[in-house]
Amino acid sequence: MTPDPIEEMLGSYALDALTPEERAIVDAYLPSSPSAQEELTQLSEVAGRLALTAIPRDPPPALRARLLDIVKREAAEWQDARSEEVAPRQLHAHAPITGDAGPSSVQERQPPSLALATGPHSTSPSPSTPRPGAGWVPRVSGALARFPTYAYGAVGSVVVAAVILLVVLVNRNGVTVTQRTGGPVAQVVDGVRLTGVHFTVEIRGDHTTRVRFQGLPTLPSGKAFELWLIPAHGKPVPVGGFAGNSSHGFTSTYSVDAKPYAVAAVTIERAPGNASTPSPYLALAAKLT
Amino acid sequence: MSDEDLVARLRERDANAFTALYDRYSRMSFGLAYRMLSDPAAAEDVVQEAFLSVWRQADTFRPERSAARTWILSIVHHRAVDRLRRGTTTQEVSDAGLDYTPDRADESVNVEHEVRALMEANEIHRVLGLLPMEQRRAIEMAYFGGLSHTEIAGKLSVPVGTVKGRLRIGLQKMRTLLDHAEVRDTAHDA
Repeated sequence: MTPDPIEEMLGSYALDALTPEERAIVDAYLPSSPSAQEELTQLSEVAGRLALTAIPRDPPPALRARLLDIVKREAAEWQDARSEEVAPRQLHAHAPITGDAGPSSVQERQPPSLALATGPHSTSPSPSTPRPGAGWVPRVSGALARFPTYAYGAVGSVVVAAVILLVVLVNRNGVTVTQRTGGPVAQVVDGVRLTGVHFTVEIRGDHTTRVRFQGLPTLPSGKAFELWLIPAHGKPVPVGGFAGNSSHGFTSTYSVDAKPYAVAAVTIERAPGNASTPSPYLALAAKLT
Repeated sequence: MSDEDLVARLRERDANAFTALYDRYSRMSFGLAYRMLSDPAAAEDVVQEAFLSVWRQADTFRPERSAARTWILSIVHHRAVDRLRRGTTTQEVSDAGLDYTPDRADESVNVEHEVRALMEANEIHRVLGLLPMEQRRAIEMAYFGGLSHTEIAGKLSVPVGTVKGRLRIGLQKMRTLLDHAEVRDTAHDA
């Protein structure tokens, strides 16, 4: 009897040994096969127990403090939000408001001249993900002859082909959280389809910045996204690199204050996405001021 | 309080429940991430990302599908695999040669959970040792090396279908052996 080609992949699935494409095939198949679901549950439980064979090690104590700081802050915000659901608080919206249900949208379109910028990618080996609260200081890039040609350097010429929302919330603790929403500058950038991607930048009164992405696609091997903060006049500052594939959402908090910057942008770089100079492949942008 | 109860409390944004889960499983999580990545900074990133996912996505936990511990460690594993496939760290399949010993945070160590996990780990080691070498090797390359079955096939110079079979049959055998061990232990306790 020939084994079912999809069910043959269940062991690989349980061990995270499938490509995203193969995983999608199995995911699509599972609802039609209760027996495969049952087997996968069992194999995943066994695979999960393999973790126990790794020697437990103490993480750095600062990690605990950092996580608890984030968690307590988000718990307080969540409680605030729940309170507001019961007794709505005042929202200060800096953007024009239309309709009755919430903040309005302002649409700005100005396609960037991506063809103007070319050049080598950075191959910097430094870590790609800054660790919030760990004293991470954004690196200021060196030569930036190319990036200003995109005209991100001036607030008035920012190009964002996406809905932009601006909402300022003042929570109970007096911490101001200003939200900006951005999106893709083109449907396809560097061969990567960005339709449906959006992201939110929270400029927080405690001098941190939280960025939430939805719908980031899976990038081809060897590529990564990189987040930049761009001042009205000056050099783009690299914030961190990250992979895509976040259809379920992806949030990261950085210990950098985005308030002085005019634009948050995401480019497509060589993996791991820690270039010191932006590539020509501007993917997403959000106006901050 | 059970792990599952603590995860349920995360849905109500209970920071104390998060603290309890972190104290129970941060050492296991960091140990797993470190074994896979061989890089303390990368392991720290992975554990941070994983526990923030636990905090923010507690409503995705399905207690009928897995234990909370398995769920947490699987998130750590997913993140470490992502990191490995992004090519930002080297792959390491063995604990041999790892000499990073950070300061202990004794107040964070949950003895009961670690002892239980240690006993289970011994059982997993035993069961792994009962598998044919090629199945055990494939499972370790996939789980700890973060390799896809295609990559394993390339490294071992065997067809992908063979690797798929080794992974699936190996896990099935492990499950059977672990079930027998649990039955044996239950009978012994009785």
